[in-house]
Amino acid sequence: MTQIQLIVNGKKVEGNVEPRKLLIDFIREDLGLTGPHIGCDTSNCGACTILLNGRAAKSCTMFAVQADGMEILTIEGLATDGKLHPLQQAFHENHALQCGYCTPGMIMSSVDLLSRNPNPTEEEIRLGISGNLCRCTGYHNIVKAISSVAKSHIFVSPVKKEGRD
Amino acid sequence: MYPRAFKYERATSLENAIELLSRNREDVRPLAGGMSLIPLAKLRLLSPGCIVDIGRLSELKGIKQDKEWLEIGALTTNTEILESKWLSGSYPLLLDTVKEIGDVQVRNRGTIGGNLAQADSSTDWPATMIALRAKFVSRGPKGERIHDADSFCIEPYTTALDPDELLTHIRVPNPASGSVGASHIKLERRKGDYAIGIVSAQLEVDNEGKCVSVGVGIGAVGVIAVRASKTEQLLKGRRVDADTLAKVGDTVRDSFGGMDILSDIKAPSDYRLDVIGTLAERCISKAYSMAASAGAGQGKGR
Repeated sequence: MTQIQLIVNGKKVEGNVEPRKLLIDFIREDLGLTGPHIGCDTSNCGACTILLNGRAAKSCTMFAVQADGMEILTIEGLATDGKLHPLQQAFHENHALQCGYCTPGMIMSSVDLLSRNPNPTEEEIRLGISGNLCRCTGYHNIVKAISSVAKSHIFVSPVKKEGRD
Repeated sequence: MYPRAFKYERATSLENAIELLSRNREDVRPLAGGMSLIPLAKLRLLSPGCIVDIGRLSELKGIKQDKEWLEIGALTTNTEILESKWLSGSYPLLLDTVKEIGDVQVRNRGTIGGNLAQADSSTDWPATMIALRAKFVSRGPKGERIHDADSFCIEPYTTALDPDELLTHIRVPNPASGSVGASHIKLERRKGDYAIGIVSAQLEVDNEGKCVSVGVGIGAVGVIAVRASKTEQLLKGRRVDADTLAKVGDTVRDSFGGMDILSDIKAPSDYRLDVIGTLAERCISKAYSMAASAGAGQGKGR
C-alpha cells in the first residue's frame, strides 16, 4: 500500500492505496465522489474525465499514486456557493444531455477547452470534445451549450493560469 | 479491469530511475504518461512485475533550441509541445503532427518520449521523426547513446533500448533555410482511432522551387514506421509538378521491402497499400506548395 495526499475540489485528502488502484476508483470508491463515471474503462469514452492540475485527464487511465501531490477537480467541485457553473447551467438550458452518463466528463473537457480558448469555432469545440463519447449521440446540443457559454462571455475558469515556456 | 499487482517505484532523478530499472531489469517498465502502458496493463497484455514511475523527472521536460537542433525532453507532454512558442516558426511538421494526436486528454498526459519508446507504427510521432531525421538520446547504466530515428524501432513495440535504458531527449535538426513546407496526413475511421495510413513529409526548396532537402516517413502500413527513400530520391532536385506527383504513389509503395503489412478488420493490407499512395500524393503536394510559398515570401522580403 502507498500513502498519497492530494487536493480534491479544494480539500486536502489522504489515501492509502494499492499502486494498481486506478484514479477513477480512488475518486469514486474511497472519496465517494461518483460524478466522474466509468464508461468504457478502455481510455476511449472520456466519461471519467477530471481536471488534473487544471488539465483534462481520463482518470481511468491513471493510477491513483500518479496523482500524489496533485490538484484534482471533479464535476462536484464546479458549482460555487450552490450555484451551477455557467457550463452546467448551459447544458441544462440547451438540453445538452439525454441519458446524462457522459455529461460530467463532457463538462470537464469543456472547461479545459474554454480555459485555453475562450472563443472556439464550432470545429474547435467538436475537436475539443473528441475525447468524449455521447452514446445517445446528442452532440448537437452539447456543442450548442458550449458555444452559448463562449458567446455570452460568462465562462469563469476554475483553473489558475500557469506560466508557459 | 485491474492490471496485475506490481511493485511501484517512483524515481526521484534520472540517475535514480536508471538504478531502479537496472535493479529490476528482468521484469520492469518505465511509466511516463501511461497512455499506452496503462491500457495495455489493464487488458493484461502487459504485466510487468515492477513499474518505475518517471513522470516527475523535471530534467526530462521542456524544449530548448540549440545551434543545430531543437531539443525536446522525452517527458514533454504533447500539449506542452502544441502550446510551445518554438513550433510556429521553423518546425511546421512538429505542429502539424502534434495537433493530430489522440484527443485533448491524451495530449495532456501523453509524452513524446513515451510514444516513441512504445514503437507503435500506427501512432503519429514515429513517421514524423523519420521525416525530420531526428536523433534520439538515451541514457542507461553504460552512459549515453544516440540513435537515428530510422533504426530506433526494431520491430513492433520493440526499440533499440535496453530494459534499463531510458529515452531522454529528441533532437530535431533545424531547417537550413526558411523555405520549409510540411504536412502530416493520416486516414482514420474516426478521430482518435488507430490510423489506417500516415504520411509525414518535410521539404525545403531553393529559389527556383527545386527540392533541396526531402524527408518522408510512412506509418500505419508497415509493422514499423519506414522512410520512403524512393520518394525522397524522386523529389530531390526537382520541382514538384503534376508529372512528378503522379509517380509519388508507386515510389511510396516501394518503401516496405519484405516487411509485413498491417491488416485488420478496418483495413486489410492491400487496402492500406492502395490508400497510402493517395495520402502521399496529397501530403507531398501540400508540403510543396507551403515550401514554395514560404520561399516566394522570403524572396520578396529581400
